[in-house]
Amino acid sequence: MSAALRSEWLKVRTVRTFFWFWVGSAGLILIAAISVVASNGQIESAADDRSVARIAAIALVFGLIAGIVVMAGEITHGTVTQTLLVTPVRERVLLAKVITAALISLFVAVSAELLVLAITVPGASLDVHNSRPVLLGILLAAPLAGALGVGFGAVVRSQGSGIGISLVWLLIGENIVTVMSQSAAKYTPGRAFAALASGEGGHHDLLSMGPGGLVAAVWTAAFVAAGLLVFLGRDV
Amino acid sequence: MIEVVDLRKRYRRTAAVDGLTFTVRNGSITGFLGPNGAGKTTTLRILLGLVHPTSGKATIDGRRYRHLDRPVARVGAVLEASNYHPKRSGRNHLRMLAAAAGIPNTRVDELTELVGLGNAAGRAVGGYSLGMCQRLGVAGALLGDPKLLVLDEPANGLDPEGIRWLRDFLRTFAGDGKTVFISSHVLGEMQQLVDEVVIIHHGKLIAQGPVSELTARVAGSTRVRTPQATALRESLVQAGFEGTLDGDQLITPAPAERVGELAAAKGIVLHELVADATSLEEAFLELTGGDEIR
Ligand SMILES: Nc1ncnc2c1ncn2[C@@H]1O[C@H](COP(=O)(O)OP(=O)(O)OP(=O)(O)O)[C@@H](O)[C@H]1O
Ligand SMILES: [Mg+2]
Repeated sequence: MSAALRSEWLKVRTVRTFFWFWVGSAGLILIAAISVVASNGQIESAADDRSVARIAAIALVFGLIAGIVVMAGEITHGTVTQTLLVTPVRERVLLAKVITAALISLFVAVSAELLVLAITVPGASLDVHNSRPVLLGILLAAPLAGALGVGFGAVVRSQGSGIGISLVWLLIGENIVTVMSQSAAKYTPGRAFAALASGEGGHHDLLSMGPGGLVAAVWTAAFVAAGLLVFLGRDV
Repeated sequence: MIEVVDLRKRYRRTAAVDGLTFTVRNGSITGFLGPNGAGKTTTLRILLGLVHPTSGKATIDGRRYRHLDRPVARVGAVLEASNYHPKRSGRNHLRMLAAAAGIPNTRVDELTELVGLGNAAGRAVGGYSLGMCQRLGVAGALLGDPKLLVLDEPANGLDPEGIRWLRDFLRTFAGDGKTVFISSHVLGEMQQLVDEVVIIHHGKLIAQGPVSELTARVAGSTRVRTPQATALRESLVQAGFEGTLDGDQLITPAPAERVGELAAAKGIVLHELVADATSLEEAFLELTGGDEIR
């Protein structure tokens, strides 16, 4: 298992893709955090603290995409053939990818939080104590997002459509669900992750942190299980 | 030993492999022949655990690929080129495979030298030629120092020099008592290289055996040029052979030795006596009924 993990880590390190995800996440957060500092300058309430800290949740989208690329990228480029020749036990390959993606996603999230804090604590006097639940929520959500990406990537088997479908779903799909049913929308993957990262007790369109985290974990498990089934069953 | 038993793989409409049974002995170079679409690649991918068969099985030393202890130390496989991340260097590609197999990086450097990748090893694979990709593929297959090499059309995209390199390499490899199973439709190459052949067509076994046995199964012919063609034909017919006249030429299925003896007995002058040895190519075409592609 550790050999498979080491190999996955080398795959990540030897292409620039993941570095650019990290840079992209940092770039967006930089823009968002600086505009907070530039616009109001002062944070009034604990709720404000949390909403500013939530900027770091952008990292979750990049964690998800990284997970998709860790899995589907190999299928897209065909290197999965050789990966499976060395490690023919596919469960092991998938598990190594889930762990790798979870760690990448966690790394991106930690960087994101540090960046938000580095800018908004001095710049807008963000109260770290008040924003702690958000920061914790994001750190819990990040490995789940990476793992979910791997599962989803194994199902769609193409990194391009994997990224495309997930972004369209997050930006449009979930809003359509919200229009159809407010109460059902709370349980969609995106809203469940948002609830986990909200650091709050829930309101009309979001579950509270605990249940939200639970639903996010269930979605992750479901996607990883589906991905495993497809990965085991399909020819490569 | 490779053992394929009643293997079947059905895609929606086609039966890519249709009840295939054959074995490959250890210590031989066995060619895996068949026209385009015969099912060679499918069979090899099933053998390597990449494709799930519809039924039947393909094993290596009695085990499915998935159940081999350290598969890369037992089997090396070279599949089609281009299965690389274009932005990753050849060396890093090998390192990531080596890491998964617990093989040290020194082996990677050894192999890039051996296959003649040399300086190119540090460059991104996206800039490699087809031949370089094939060499990289061979290096990957050798990582675990396997006793069996499985190659799918490795000569594709190689220039004559590359083909010679590959052939010499495979000879040396097999010379150490190791086994090579190689698919191809570049038959000329195969005849010089392989000991045995497995010929398939439409997913079914057509023939298996030593090359010599196979070519003997397909009748050869003898061509003679003589000013006394008609007289020679007569004596051939008396001896029970057919003969076709074409000007001063005579074509007959009789072996060249027999034609020579008959001519000498009758004092017939020969200007030319040629035994048209059956090539693997002809045997192959005859056995598979031409170059028909599904
Ligand atoms: N993934 C697939 N889906 C559907 N049909 C397939 C698939 N793979 C192979 N086939 C079909 O199965 C048959 C055998 O294909 P295969 O690639 O095994 O032949 P081959 O002997 O390797 O041919 P070639 O010499 O051209 O490489 C062909 O008719 C092909 O169209
Ligand atoms: Mg083929």
